Order: sequence, then structure tokens, then C-alpha cells
Amino acid sequence: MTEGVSPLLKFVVAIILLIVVAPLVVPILMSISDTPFIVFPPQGFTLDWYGEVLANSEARDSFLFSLKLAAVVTLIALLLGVPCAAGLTRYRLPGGDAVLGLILSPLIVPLIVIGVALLQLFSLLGSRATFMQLVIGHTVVCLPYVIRAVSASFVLIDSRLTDAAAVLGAPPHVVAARVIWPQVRPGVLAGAIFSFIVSFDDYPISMWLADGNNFPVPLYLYTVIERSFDPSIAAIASLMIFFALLLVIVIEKVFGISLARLAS
Amino acid sequence: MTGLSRRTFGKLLLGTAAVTAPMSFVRNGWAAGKEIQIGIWGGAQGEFVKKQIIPAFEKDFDCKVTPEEGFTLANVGKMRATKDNPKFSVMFIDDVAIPICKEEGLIAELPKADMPALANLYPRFGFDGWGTAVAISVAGLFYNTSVTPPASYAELWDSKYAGKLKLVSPKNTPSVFFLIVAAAVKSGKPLPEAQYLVDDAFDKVAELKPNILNLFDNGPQAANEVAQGQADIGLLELSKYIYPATAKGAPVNMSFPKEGSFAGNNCQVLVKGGPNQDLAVAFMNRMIEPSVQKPLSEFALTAPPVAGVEFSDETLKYLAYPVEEMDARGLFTPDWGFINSKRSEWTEKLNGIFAV
Repeated sequence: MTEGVSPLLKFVVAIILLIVVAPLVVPILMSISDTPFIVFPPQGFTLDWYGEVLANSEARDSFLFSLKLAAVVTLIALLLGVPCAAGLTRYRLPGGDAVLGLILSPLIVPLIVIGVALLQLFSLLGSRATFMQLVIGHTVVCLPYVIRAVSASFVLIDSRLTDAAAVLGAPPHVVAARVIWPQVRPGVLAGAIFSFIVSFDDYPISMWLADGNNFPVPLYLYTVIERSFDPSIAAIASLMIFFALLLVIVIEKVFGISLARLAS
Repeated sequence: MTGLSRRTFGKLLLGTAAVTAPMSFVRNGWAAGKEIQIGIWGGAQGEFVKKQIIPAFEKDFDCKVTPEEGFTLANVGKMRATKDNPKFSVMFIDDVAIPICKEEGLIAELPKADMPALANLYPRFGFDGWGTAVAISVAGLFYNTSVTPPASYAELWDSKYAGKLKLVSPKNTPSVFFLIVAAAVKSGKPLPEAQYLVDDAFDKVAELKPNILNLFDNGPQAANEVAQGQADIGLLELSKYIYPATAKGAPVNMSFPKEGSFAGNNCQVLVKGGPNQDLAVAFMNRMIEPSVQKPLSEFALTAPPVAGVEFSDETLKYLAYPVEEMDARGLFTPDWGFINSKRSEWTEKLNGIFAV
């Protein structure tokens, strides 16, 4: 596969990988330091910090809460985003560009502004449902990522294939399931991954809307850093890196979609 | 069969329960089932409030308290955003923000009659009845224990510290302390007078630039970096962020130069029109009771704002307590009313000097 790749390209890719991956190694090394404070290079060796984090119910609760929140948000963003992307790319709708601009606006407006605006809105509505508020807030932010990824897939659909299927007598739902879906699936999956990660990592929206019972991981990390800067923070960061890596591997294995295709 | 009817048995059971129930439960029956939301800090204080104080309070009052961790600016922002339909009942903020909140009508005056614990509060931490302090930190220098800290702030301008100092970010409150220090060094006046001379001290601030390695906005992280020797000294930060590292054995400690040091007053305020104000007031009263203040202070290494709390000598190493000790250390609380009117202008100038 790589026989025709030029040495220069290989070199550039290696440099980029080094720049991207090397910083991720630092917290992993710091997390095994046997000192009561963070130090690099690490001194001694211990896995106790991982034990401490995993035994900490606060850390566990926040992690599970973030997983639940990101999963619900991703599901809703897909339910809203896929039909929206299909409609905006396949049909010329009056005001379509304005709708697209509105939906994509969270990519331009600072998230902290969106967060405080949502808090104000929910306060005026008298809402006390924190989880629902977080779901709405995160969905607003994640929707653009789903729509961008899915729209690109819809634009690239080969219309000759759908026409051929229809001419050969396939009803619309069969065309959708067996011709269109295989072509847009990478985009939907990419949108889902983006959405999940954006929600899982979000701080500015959660900062305004969360409370002590609904406390996502990024907020928890911030409070832990304020409490004490010991290697347990590096251990949490390392666990998040491992989790992201695991996510990519699982997706690769389960869905059988190569990273190269996702990136295309 | 005893001949005891079901109704009589029920009355007997209720009567027995009432007699044997804890007195606090009976006394606080009015609060049963009520719920409040409070904005607290993160950090060690937040951790203690969340894990120790709130569960005990909920048990005593049969109520629900939902904490939301944040920091002063965010907490004020949340009060502003929910002003028309308050979500919070109690908010933890620094003393710097109390005049602003009062002026904007975000907070209510405390009902003194319903807060018996106010009797032990040092008057200087009462803020004219618009809040109370709950924890006092001392702001000063923090240094790597391999170097000798300066006896005077003026020494920090010496070229021997070129590239060896970490300075607090303009967005953090202790940056105001730094400006007052610069004004005191330039004018030779004590801190209380120097705070009104900051406008004339920005040339002195700029002179320190060659000695500044970088800016920091996270105290515990900065303490860790100084402990590792990335810089010799950090200025200025609150003891609550530094001493936990010192107590863990990290080679970092605090020093308080001869010009004096600053009080970092973490406070609580009653949100105007917030839900269940009676329960909110009871919670605020609980926060300043000596039985809560002692363990909170020992955990977070901050001083109580109330009189009569006993500490071990080991704990007192980290606290400026009691009030006589605060005075002996020259602990100074700036005139926030004056400073708040200047803060944005000063922050802009600081950014201009230290921007890359």
C-alpha cells in the first residue's frame, strides 16, 4: 500500500505524528511518577494514581455521566442532523442557506456566550431540569459537526447508482437502505464520533448549565486541578487518552471502516 | 391479642417516634423536603463543602442541597443570567465581588436575627450585613525551598531574578495585589495608601517584565512548577492554593515580605429572591458555626472568620489566626469599591505590558 508514497510525504507524516502524539505521551509518563506532585521526567514508578482515580466515586460518576450525556446528545444530533443534511443537500429549499447558517452558527459564536444565553433562557422558562438543559446545550453545539460530515457524504452520492437501482425496480426504501446508506454511512459515523467527542470534552456550555448532580468530566478535571496538582490528574488525562484510543479501535473493528476513509 | 386497636397502635407509634427522634430533626421540621441550589468553589474548600458539610446539613434538616462548583466570576455571571428567576439561593464569591452584587441588586441583606452564629463573626468579615466570609487565605509570594525568599517586595525588581519569576495572570484577583505592591515599592507608602496610587505605578510594573518567566492562572499548577524549579518565585497567590502542596512535602513554601500581605476573603452571599430563603439562611448560618469552621479550616488550610476556634500548632503554621495574628502579619483587605471601578482599565494596561 505504501510502496508508491514518496519519502518526503512519509517524512512529513512522521513529523506531524510526532507533533500530535508526543504531547500525549507526557501525561502518561507523569502519571506513573512516585511523587506527591507532578514531575517530568517521572521519578520512581507507581500505578497507585490510577488506583486512586478508579476508586474515586466522584471521578467514576463524572465519567459515567459524561458517557451517558454524550451518547444521548449524539443520538439526538444524528436524529436531527441526518434528515437536515439530506434535505439541505438534496433539495433546493427556500431559505435553505439561512437555515444552514443558523445551524452552523455555534461554530462561529463563542461557546461561552451560547452557554450563558442558554442559562438565561432556561431561567426565564423556570426550568430546573439540569440534564435536559445539558442535552439541549450540547446538541446545539454538536449538530453542526453532524451536519457538516453528513452533508459531505450526501453531496458525494453517485446519483447514477440511485437512478440505476430505481430503474431496475427497487422501491425507495430499498434504494435508501442498500444504495444511499452504504454511501453516507462513513459520514454519519464521522459525525457521530465528532458529536460524541465534542460533547464528552465540552467545558464552556457545561460550566453554565451543570450542577453537582450532573457533573461532566471536564468540569470535574478542572475542580481536581484546583484542589491539588498531583499525578492523579495525569492519570485521569491518560485514561481519557486510552479511552479515545479504544473508541477508535472499536469503531475500526466493529464497523470495518478504515481511518483513511473516515478522513476522506 | 392485646386488645390494642390499629388506630391506637398508630398513635402510639407516632408518639414514640416523635419522642425518640433526634431533637434537631424535630426542631428543623420546617425545612423537611425543601431544596436549594448553591454555587460553591472548586478546590479543597469545595470538596469539603460537598462531601462533609452538605451531607450533614441535609441530614439535620431533612432537605436537599445541590451544589454547583465554580469560581467568583462565573458565579456572579450565573446570578446575573438568572436574576429575573433566581435558580441559586446561596452563592460563594470572593469579597471583591460583594459591592458589585449589592449594586446590581443580585444579593439580599442577611437577616441577622435568624443567624445566631453571626455573634462569633469578626466584624471585619461581615461586609455591612451583605454577606460573611467563610474562609480567609493569605496572599503572598511562593518560592522553591532551595532559594531564600526576599525580605522585601522591592528585591523582586533586582536583575538577579531575571527570568526566574512567575506572575499571576491579570484575570485573577491577586493580580490586583501585585499592582498595589508595585505602587507601594515605587511610592514607599504602606499598602493601604499605595492602593490609591496604582495609576502612577505602571512604569514600575513594566520594569519587572525582564524578570518574569511567564504568567500563571492556576495556583496549584504554578506551585507545582515552582516546586520543580521551573521558576524560583511566584507572585502573588493565595495560601489555600499553595499550602496543600507544602503540606504534601513538595519543595514549595510561602513567604510574606515586610510590606505586609493580603487577605483573600472567600465569602457567602444570600441570592436576592432565591428559592427557600429560610433554608438558605440556615445553611449560611451552618457555614460559620465553629463546629463546621474548624474541620473546614484544617482541611483547606484557611483561617476561620469567627472567633473561638482552637487549632493545633501544626495547623496554625498555615493559618493567620486568630484576628490578632492577622493584624500582626499586616493582613490587608483592599478597598474593593475603589478597585472595582478601576479594575478593567488596570487589567487592560497589564495585558498591554505582558502580552507577548
